[in-house]
Amino acid sequence: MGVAGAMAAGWSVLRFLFASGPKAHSMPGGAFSSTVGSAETSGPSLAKNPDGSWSLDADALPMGQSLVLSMSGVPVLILHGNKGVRAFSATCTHLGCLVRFSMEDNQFQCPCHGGKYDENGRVVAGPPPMDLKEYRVDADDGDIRIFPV
Amino acid sequence: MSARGRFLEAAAGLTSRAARRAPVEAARAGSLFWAWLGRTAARARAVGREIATGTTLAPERWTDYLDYTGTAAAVLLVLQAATGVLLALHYEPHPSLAFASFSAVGTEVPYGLLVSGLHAAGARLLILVGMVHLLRVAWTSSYRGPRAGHWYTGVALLSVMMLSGFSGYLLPWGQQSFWACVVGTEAAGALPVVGKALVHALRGGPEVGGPTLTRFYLFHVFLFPLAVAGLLYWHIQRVWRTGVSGPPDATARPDPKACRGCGACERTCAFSAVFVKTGQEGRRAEVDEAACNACRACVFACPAGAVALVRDNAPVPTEPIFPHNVLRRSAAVLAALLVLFAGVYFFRGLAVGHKVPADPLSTPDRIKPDWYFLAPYQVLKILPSERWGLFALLAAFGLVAALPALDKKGPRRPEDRPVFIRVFQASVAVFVVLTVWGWLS
Repeated sequence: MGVAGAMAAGWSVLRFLFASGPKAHSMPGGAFSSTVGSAETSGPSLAKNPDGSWSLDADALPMGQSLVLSMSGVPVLILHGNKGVRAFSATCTHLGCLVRFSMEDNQFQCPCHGGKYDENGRVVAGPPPMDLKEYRVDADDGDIRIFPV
Repeated sequence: MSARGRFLEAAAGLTSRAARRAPVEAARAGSLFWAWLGRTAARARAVGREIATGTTLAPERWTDYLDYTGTAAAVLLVLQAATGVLLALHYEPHPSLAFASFSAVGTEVPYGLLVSGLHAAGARLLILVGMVHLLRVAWTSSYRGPRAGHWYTGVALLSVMMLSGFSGYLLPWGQQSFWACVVGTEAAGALPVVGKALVHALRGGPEVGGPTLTRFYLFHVFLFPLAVAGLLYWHIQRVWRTGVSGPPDATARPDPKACRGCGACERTCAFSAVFVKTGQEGRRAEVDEAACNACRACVFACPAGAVALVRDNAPVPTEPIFPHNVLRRSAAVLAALLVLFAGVYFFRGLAVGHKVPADPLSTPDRIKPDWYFLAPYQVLKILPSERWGLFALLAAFGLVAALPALDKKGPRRPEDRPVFIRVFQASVAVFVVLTVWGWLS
């Protein structure tokens, strides 16, 4: 009885130890590099211009929609609302979660600790200590250009 | 030159005089090792003898049974180490492989779900048992005098285990783990002066990414286990040396007939409760029973075995360590293992809860830390600034950690310390409310 039990336990341990590694390693959405936002996605993405600005095809952002994209690892929220196309830092100034824009409430909302910012990125509720940073945007000729500085 | 020295010299093939001496030094170092091993074996034999033949205090109140949570926590810790080693055989700490390899342990590796379930549920249970152990010690102020070091090492152990839990939470590289790590590390940035540098050092860069995973893996599988092993050894050694504290309503009482008046008890008392007086029968030890904390230091220090713990003029009951105490502790360990396996069964989601791989461009709804960080999470949420929140948390931790320095003397019976007990109960209630609030919000 004891020997059979020991052999069964030993066999289980051996099976665990000698199991081959997982077959499929690739993550959905591709591999990560060391920085935020370098995941390969099939959706829209920002392209860097020689002058340091970043471009997005205007068709990718219809009226009433927003996108969070990576600007060399920095998450930026691009918003097409009543005041045209605007771009803000997507990182909540409280503890670093990414904010979303609610078209119904016309405000940025953080899902982590309830921080809220108005449509201009100013704090209106919750614990964030600072407003969201806004980036300069040029939107014409079917191209949205964002200037990071 | 010893045979070993000659052997080492020959093996090294050295000729110069200085080089010839090197193997001798090595042999001497070898002797030191063997001497150390001999001492350790002798100490282990002494511990074994003490367990086989010694006695300890018999449990009386319900709180005495909670003493065994320490043993249960130690066994759970060993189980964490064992399951952690097994998981490390299959886990790959790279952002592109971590999620898949973690998921594969649960789906492709035989018994992988059981092992990862034991590790995940075991970590949560270990922290819970550790906290109960801590609360039990605080309830009777058993951290005073000779046991202050037990408290400090115990609080350090619990803290390192919680940090280890935090670092392990990132390893599955799921959405929950990733964003809990973002929030958790960002909170450290609120510290004045060093905050930003600390966040950068923890993450290995400005954002959570591959270097963060490498660092957290290093913390989780090497640095924290090393610290836990050292602290646990220190903690258990101290506990063994002093034994458990006596009942809070007991007092030490020297037997005047057996006392030789050597003063060993007076020298060891941390409460200035024992002193040697010279009377008609010569030097005899006496005890100020109001000041005595029943810590038992004098009981162990007396070379004549003349000091005993008494309550209402009757000796405090004792029992043999083996089998009575060993069986009670074994029962506590079995109970903990039963709860653990129930947890593995009923909370299978803990092991496979990271269903969505990390996405740095999308923060999910309802990101939550592990249960033991829900209260700090809620504090950070409700206080107006992260710096105030962090200071509140550090102040609360500092108060708990420094208890032996803040509460050194006075009665130990909970009934005689109404203010302390009210604060104790309020603190536990606040922790529970914040935890539930953090979970529901």
